[in-house]
Amino acid sequence: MPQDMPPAGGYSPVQYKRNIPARGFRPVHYLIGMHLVMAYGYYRLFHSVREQHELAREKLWGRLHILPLLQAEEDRDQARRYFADKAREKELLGTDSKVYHSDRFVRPTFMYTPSKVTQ
Amino acid sequence: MGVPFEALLPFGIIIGCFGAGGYGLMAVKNWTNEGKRARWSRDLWDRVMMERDLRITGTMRGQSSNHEAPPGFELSNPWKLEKRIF
Amino acid sequence: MSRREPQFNQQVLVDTTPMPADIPKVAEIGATSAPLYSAAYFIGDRCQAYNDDFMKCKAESNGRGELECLKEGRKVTRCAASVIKDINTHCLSQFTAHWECLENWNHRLWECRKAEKELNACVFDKLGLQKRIPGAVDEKKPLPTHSVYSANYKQC
Repeated sequence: MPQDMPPAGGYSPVQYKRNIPARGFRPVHYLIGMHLVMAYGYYRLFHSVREQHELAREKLWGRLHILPLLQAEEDRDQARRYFADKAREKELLGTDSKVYHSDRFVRPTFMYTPSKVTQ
Repeated sequence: MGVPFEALLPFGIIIGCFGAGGYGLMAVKNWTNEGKRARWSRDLWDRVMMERDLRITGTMRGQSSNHEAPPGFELSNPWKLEKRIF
Repeated sequence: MSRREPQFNQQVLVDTTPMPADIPKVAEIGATSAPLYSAAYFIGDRCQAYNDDFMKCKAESNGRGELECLKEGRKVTRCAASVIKDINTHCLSQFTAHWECLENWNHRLWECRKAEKELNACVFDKLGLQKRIPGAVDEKKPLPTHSVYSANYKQC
């Protein structure tokens, strides 16, 4: 029985390689481009954060400049109520008693509220 | 071949309801802010200052640039009270 | 002194007893939040000494500042009121434009640079007060007109 032999002249070559041309730029160029974009983004971010700090400082100092006058207003109100309380106490109890064992100014925690409110 | 008008009724209802809700919210927001743009992201300072505005002008968004407060302003500071729990 | 804010408060207490007669009267400032914020740097420029004096008095009076620093507080209020009065007489239109812009833009200063520039120029011409931000990287340089964060393109 004759054996199956390769054809005369050998097999034709098998094309196992793809022969597609590489598209686009070289990979290293993509890498560089990405880094450039990122660098620009970080550059903008750096300056934005700087600017945000300055804006925060501006807001802070704007508030700091008007803080004393608001505080003075509030303190006058506290003092007025304190003197009014003292006067009422004197009128009702006849004594000038100290509630707290301290000579600091204490905003009262408990207040007498009028039962009948006229408004 | 015409579309039967019954098929359009739900769309009318949907548009009407969303429209009523949206325009209603817009109207309420406009009314509370007195026609100005709304304040947002208010911190404690802003809230306290808006209460002070309320004492001076009578409305939360009202503004005035007078250098002297209206008479009685210094007497009108309300203290918030709460009932004693313990 | 730390104090807990009332939660779920239902009522307020308003005490209308006036100040005792032996304490000098002072007219409170009637400017509301936006005009005050707009004029803050000019107040700070003219009244820095009074402000510092008052805050120093408060810090040094060992907890009795509310009663002992009334005099300094009156000076602070009078000085600030004088600044607002001067701005109102000399730069009313620029001032109004700026604080209305602030009020419309959630009190964000960087949305209103155009109005602020005009106000600063007018106040510097008429009153000699200057906006200076202490501790800024470059104190001489004003903040940029066009902010990255500005949503208000019409102003810039």
